[in-house]
Amino acid sequence: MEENNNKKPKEEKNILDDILANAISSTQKYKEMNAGLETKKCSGCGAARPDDTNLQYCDFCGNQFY
Amino acid sequence: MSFSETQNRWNDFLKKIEDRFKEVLEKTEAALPLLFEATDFETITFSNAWQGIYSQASDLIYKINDTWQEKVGEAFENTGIGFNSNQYIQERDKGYQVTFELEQRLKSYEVRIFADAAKKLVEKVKNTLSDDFCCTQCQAKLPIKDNFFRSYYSTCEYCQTVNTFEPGIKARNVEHFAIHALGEEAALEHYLQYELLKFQNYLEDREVNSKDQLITQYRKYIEAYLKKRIEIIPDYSDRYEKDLEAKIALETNY
Repeated sequence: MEENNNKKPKEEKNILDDILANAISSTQKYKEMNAGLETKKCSGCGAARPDDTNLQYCDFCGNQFY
Repeated sequence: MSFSETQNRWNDFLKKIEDRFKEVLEKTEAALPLLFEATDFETITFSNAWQGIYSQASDLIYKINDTWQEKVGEAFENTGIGFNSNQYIQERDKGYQVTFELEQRLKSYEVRIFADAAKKLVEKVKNTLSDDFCCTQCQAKLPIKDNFFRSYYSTCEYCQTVNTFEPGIKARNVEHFAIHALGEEAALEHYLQYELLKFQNYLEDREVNSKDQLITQYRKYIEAYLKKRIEIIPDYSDRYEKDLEAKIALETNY
């Protein structure tokens, strides 16, 4: 009985440790996406997309964006 | 076993459950925030870890009713008091009362620990968004919003180039994780009150609090929740009425 009581705190600690370790190991990790900027550029002439244009055609050479 | 012996054992059992419950949550108090920081504000790991701890705490709460059903109710009947006598009901309700109080404490604890994590996340994101972000073409500084956490176009006022701003996964998690946690924190007192009204009805087995009173209280909870969300992301104000209506319907229609 005394032996069991002595073991109890260790076992309890392990439950919490196990929960935390399990959460870390079983969660799928994805590549971190950081804050930043990018600009869609025309694959034909390399021009960046200016304001008030759409994403269909390059405003400079008429090349299709996608 | 006499009535008073049975009663003492029942009281001791309830006390032990409360103590154990407190112990589980106290240990978590120190560990979960460390985990959140150690994983660099990884919200999924944090939520998964909480789910494990929540299950432990919930299992303890359920044990009260299970033990009453399996042993205690019968033990009280064997003392000679009638099934559904006043004494019997009083002892049974004691279990309901402790169950309800622990559920309320678990909810409060959950809301607080998530809100604390959310505040740390928001602070980190605001710091990141206050950095200088420059146009990819001419390197001029671009205006970046500190209260919008999705990708958006930002046009350079010098060269007119359209830049796409990506706020990053942590900022996106403000919307997916933090605003809910902070909304829940702002609305917690109304939620607990709503649960109390429902519990009073359950305990008395009649409508002590009318359906209208319940809906009014639930509405207060949702209003406080949605208003807090708007405070963090003003864009949500456009759909306030729709969100309010939908959330109330979800509770009242089922």
